[in-house]
Amino acid sequence: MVQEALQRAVLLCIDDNQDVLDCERAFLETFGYTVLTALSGRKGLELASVHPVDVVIVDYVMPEMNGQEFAIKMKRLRPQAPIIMLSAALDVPKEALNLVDAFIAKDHLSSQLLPMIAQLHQDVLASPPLGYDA
Amino acid sequence: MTSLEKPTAHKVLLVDGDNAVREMMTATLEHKGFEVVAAANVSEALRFIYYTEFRRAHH
Repeated sequence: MVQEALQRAVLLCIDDNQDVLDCERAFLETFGYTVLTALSGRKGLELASVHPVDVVIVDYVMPEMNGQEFAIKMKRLRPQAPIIMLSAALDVPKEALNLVDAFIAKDHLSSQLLPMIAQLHQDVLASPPLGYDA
Repeated sequence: MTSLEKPTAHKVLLVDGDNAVREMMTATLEHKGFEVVAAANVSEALRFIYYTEFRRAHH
């Protein structure tokens, strides 16, 4: 049951590199996820405002709006959606890392992305909805 | 699943300089049943081809 819910999850991938985006989509769809893609933070926010999104995967280095600026806006729009930040560089500022739920170096993407998505989405499924007072 | 979706006998030589792209493509193709040899550049790819052809010629 949980496995089915995990694989029905909708992922939003944002990266300014079309090749990386295409690979992320092919990779994640192969493992049963529904994938939305955007080439910029602005387009990602537009998609997130009209589609339900379970987990967000965003590159840090992007023109116009970087991953940190995107994460601030995304947390306001959909605070319950975990954000995984990616970067080819390892010197991502602490302020950016504090905003997101996980960080993956792009070199370790194929080995770390699937378990990280599953873990974060499972945490969301297990937690009470926002505004719920137990 | 049809045989087109599970082409276990096919080997793919994948050449891409971007680690993230190469690793995700490798994982995707392997999951679909392909055998993948990944090379980070043309020289690596050519070395693999020469080595494979050399072995074929001498067996």
